[in-house]
Amino acid sequence: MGEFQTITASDGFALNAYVARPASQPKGGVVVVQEVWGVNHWVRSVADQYAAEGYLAVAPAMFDRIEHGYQSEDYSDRQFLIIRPMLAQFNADTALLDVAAAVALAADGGKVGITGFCFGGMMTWRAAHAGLGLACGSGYYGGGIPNYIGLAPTIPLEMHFGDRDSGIPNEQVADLKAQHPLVDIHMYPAEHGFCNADRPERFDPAAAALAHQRSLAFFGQYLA
Amino acid sequence: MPEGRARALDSAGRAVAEFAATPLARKQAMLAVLLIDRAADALFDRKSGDDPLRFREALRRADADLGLVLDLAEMRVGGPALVLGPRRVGPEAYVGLTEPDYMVGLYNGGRIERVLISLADGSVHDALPVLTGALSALQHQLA
Repeated sequence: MGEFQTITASDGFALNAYVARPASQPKGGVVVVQEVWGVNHWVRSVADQYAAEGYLAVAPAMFDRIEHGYQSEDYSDRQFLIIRPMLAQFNADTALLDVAAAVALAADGGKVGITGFCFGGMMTWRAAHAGLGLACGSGYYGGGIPNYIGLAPTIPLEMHFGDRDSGIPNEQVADLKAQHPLVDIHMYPAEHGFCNADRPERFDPAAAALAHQRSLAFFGQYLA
Repeated sequence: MPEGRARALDSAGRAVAEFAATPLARKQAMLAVLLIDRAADALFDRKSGDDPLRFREALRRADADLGLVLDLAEMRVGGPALVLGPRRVGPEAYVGLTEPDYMVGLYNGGRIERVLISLADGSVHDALPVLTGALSALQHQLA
């Protein structure tokens, strides 16, 4: 189990980050970027899982600049009424400063990889373009492909998508693959959010397990 | 209603329903277009006259949505085409979107992806209401 601590971005902004440390010497660092519900139970569990695998895992609270301390376990439509005005204030440039602060802390564990889900998948791609001192990335179902397809990754990157995703057209995933042939893009027979074990209606254990194994193998290859 | 017509119309209806459930799938939209086109052809019989092309032309004139779908099915160079493109949606439009659609729109400035019909004059139309309208027009013809 990890704990929250405060990290500071290069512009002086202080944000929360959930930090999970492995029991022994880390074999690398992993930044875990949240979905739109903040660093909630499931995101913390992902960080804990990477710590259990031997990585120093850091999950920055990406919406702290908008509402400090935001996180929610409410996956219902009601929560979107709260999230919508928050995301209207979202700024991808300052978000990358927050990711960079998380990378700096995770670097205590060695080379650093990044992963993220939905919103975090989109941020994984943007971080892979920006570099940020990262060694590699493994992102999940990042929406808004037309907004990031032109941002060429500068580090090894793989992405995971579900072929039944009703927010991300398969055709755009194919375009992403065609435009970036060096990015490993994996498709699963699954819906958007298929890794989230706290959402049984979306969780696909088989797809999630296979994707996680691929992420571990990717991190094992590039963070060694 | 003759069985062939009923079957053709039923297939078109199912294809439109499947497209409504997967509104980001251009291939599914094209399948619905082609099945509506086939259902339109199935409407023709001797009582409709002796010229199938003239019959299609009458259908085309009778309903703008059906006309557009028949144009799409002909796949002419420079004619209308199904494309995937962005739609900006305001808060009121979020009602009725799937959750992933909604969520992706939230962190992409209210931009969601949709299958659109692109015309030679540069205008675009959402494909789903056009297909739904075309199907209704065919059903009305049979009523």
